[in-house]
Amino acid sequence: MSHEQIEGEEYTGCIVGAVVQLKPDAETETGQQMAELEGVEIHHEDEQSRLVITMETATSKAALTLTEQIQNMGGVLSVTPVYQHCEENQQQDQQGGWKWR
Amino acid sequence: MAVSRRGFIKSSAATAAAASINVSMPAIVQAMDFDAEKNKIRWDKAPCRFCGVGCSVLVGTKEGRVIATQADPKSEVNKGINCIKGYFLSKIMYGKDRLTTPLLRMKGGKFHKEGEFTPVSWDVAFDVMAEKWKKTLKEKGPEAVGMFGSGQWTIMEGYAASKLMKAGFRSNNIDPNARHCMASAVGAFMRAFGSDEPMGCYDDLEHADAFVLWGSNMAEMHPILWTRITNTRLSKPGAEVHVLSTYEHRCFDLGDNNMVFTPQTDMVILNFIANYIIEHKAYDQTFIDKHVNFKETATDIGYGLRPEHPLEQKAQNPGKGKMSGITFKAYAEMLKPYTLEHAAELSGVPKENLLRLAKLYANPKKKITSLWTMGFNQHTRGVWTNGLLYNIHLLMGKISEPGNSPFSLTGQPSACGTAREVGTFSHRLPADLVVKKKEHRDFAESVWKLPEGTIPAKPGYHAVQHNRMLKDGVINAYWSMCNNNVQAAANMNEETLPGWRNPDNFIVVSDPYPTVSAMAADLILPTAMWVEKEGAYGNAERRTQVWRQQVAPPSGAKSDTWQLMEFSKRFKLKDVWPAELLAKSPELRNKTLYDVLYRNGTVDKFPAQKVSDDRGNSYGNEEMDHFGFYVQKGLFEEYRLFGTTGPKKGHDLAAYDQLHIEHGMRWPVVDGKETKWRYREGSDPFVPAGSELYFYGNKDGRANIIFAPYEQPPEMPDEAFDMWLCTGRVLEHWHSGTMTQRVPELYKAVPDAQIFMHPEDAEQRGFKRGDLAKVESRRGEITALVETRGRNKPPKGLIFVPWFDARRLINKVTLDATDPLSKQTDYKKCAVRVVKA
Repeated sequence: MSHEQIEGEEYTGCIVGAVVQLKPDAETETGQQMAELEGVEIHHEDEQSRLVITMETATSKAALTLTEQIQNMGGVLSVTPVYQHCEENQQQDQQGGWKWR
Repeated sequence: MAVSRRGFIKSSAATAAAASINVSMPAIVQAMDFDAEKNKIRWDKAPCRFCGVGCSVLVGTKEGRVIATQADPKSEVNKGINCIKGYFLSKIMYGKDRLTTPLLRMKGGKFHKEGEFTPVSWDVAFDVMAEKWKKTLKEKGPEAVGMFGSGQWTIMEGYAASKLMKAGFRSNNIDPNARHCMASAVGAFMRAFGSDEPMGCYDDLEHADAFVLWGSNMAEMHPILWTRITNTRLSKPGAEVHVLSTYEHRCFDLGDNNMVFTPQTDMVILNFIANYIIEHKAYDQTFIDKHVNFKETATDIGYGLRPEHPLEQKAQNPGKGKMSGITFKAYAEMLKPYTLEHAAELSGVPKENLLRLAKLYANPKKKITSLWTMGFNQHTRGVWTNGLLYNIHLLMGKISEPGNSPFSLTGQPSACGTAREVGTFSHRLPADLVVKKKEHRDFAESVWKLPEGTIPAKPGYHAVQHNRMLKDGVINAYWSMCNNNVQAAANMNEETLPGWRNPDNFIVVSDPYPTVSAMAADLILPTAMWVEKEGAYGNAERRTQVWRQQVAPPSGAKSDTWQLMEFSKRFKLKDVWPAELLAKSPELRNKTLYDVLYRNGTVDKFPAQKVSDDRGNSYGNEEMDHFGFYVQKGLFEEYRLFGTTGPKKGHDLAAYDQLHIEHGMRWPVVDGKETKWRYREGSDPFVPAGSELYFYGNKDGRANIIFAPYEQPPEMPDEAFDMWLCTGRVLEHWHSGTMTQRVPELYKAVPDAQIFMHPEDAEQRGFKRGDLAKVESRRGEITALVETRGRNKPPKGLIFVPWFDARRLINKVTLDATDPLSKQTDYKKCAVRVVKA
């Protein structure tokens, strides 16, 4: 786990809950690889090779990178995010537009 | 036990994810019940802003800002899961270049076509705009004003706009960007069934035994539906997935029978399957006898290019859609040339794959759902091709029942709800009515309380013609809302930009962001988006979904509805209507368009009220505050009369108040009940008792099997331009990228459009992966990086370039050939060469 447990009302960061569908023939290996990723926690695995995971990162940008990383793993058929909660510094948040005159 | 806020959030995230696959975790909580209490987040439902799937999300708002989203566990569409776009949905509103003031091109304190964008007030913006509209109407009449709308408009926005154009300014020159994505599907529905939109619904994805993808990359474009298909494929014994495409994409990972075919030869494959079914007498004779007519259609119909184009000159029946009745025997005869050998030769697909596909369709025991999007629709024979697939389903009787479903998917969140159902096309009116028919115009005028003859009978210019007419100076006052057509329309260099920058024209763009289109305009109006306003969308399975305003728009930005209604206040009827029409209703002379269109006793029927939910939360409504009545409800309820009392049956929508409670309902909705399978007795209330199945869109209750031959595309690779170009989308970006490119995470994931190319093609031309290359056609060129290993793997001789990237505008290269019947552009095939940059 990459974050310290912080008690109290304030929270800065990004937490995502997702379901990962593994290829049935590659589930054990892929599941292990995934468990080793920083910020990823596997909460459940069902008989259809689906994992319930949470991802915890400092920024939503990092959450996306992590999602992509999982999506691109060999044994992964799909990643479906279910829940996202991101509270970040708003300056950090507002990027991506392009300059214009 | 004291739990940290972070702990709460994490627990919510895990349990929500678990619940989506029906797993209950020890401390099961749902965002809506849990966070509201503990974290002071207000949760409410809203449909996703992006694609046509129509997922429902729960939107978490804290201190006037959306900070969290959860896939709606009560949604029958996404059943508690999201895709990567939906996941960062809330961020689309918070790009740093959000527009908050109208911007007018000015020089020396006045409007000037070559001036710099200068902030002005809404009053000044509308003054200048109204002056241009009035001048144009006075000098040239209603046909010189135009509007380009959207399948992303809310239902009420589309309705308000359509009314303003067709009844107010009396111009049918309004067309939505859905022309670029759905028009061929609409044309085929009308020709085969006499009524638009699918007979089936998403429930088919669990009922079917087999899925066939015809030109649709669902894994990337409709990921939630793809997840449902994946679940069926992996959990149902014997389930199979067949994928057809002109290049290899992510759906091939799951495919049991993958086929890469030469562009345009989908028509040959479809006719081969029909031929196979007939030769093997696999068809359902009883079904055919009871429910089907056979037709042929005029052939050699051209490519929807300008009339002087050599290809149009050469065509025998340019633009003709005439159908004539034939016998089953004659139909069978016409199919005879489409043998397995012929299909394999033209398409390049191995015989065994084609045979496996044909056998699947011909097997009466297999329930089949066929799915398609732009591969069929953006096709110079799009209407025909959609129809060729219906032919197969109709021959086998595999239609309008659970699992047996030819299903036309859509690209935009309300392409169905707004563009098609409201009828914001240049030839349509709400609920499948058309301007051409007097009976339909009469009905619309009676609902709108306007004199006979208000709505012009002649269809207006369609989307592609808009740009041509702007270039030719035929349309001079033009308003583009909720889309990015400069980037989206084909052949940008030769048609779009010359049209928009023509000094005779005044172009207005309403958008939340400075898009390519906004930058090409003369006036930019800053616009509220998604949950900054109350709205409704209609998805691909006929589901209407309503949402409440969750946050206020940034100060200065206004919703499209507000803009349309405010602008209408600047016109008195005597300024815009001809004397003979005014003579029919002299009392309207000095009234404004606003009075006549929106304060007509129906739209303004519902007084201002507090908007609240059953959980005790309250919500804002900017338009209600400003205009003093419940604008969205009034517009929706007036619009609903077209379905409940209009001449075309089976278009009944649910009441507005009910839609606030339900998580979407599929029309026709009668007595508060939705319809899952149209035309099927027991499911569709409009089917007469005892008839089992009745295609009531057509007078005789029968669907049409329409023979159409394979005809070549307008441009094919030759010596000078030796490769096919196919354009499309990628998962992380949605359409032109206006919104998704502002979500930093999505932008970072796929920052630049690439040229996806076969490694041998690259090598032959001296390119390595990552090299800069130039794509040239007869019309224009772009440069981009070569990608030989990406997720899209084209066959030799074809490149794929996504079109979201505003800095690499692939539509400088594409050809503006259209389906001559639907007028939809073919973005999927033209001839290019790839050379060193």
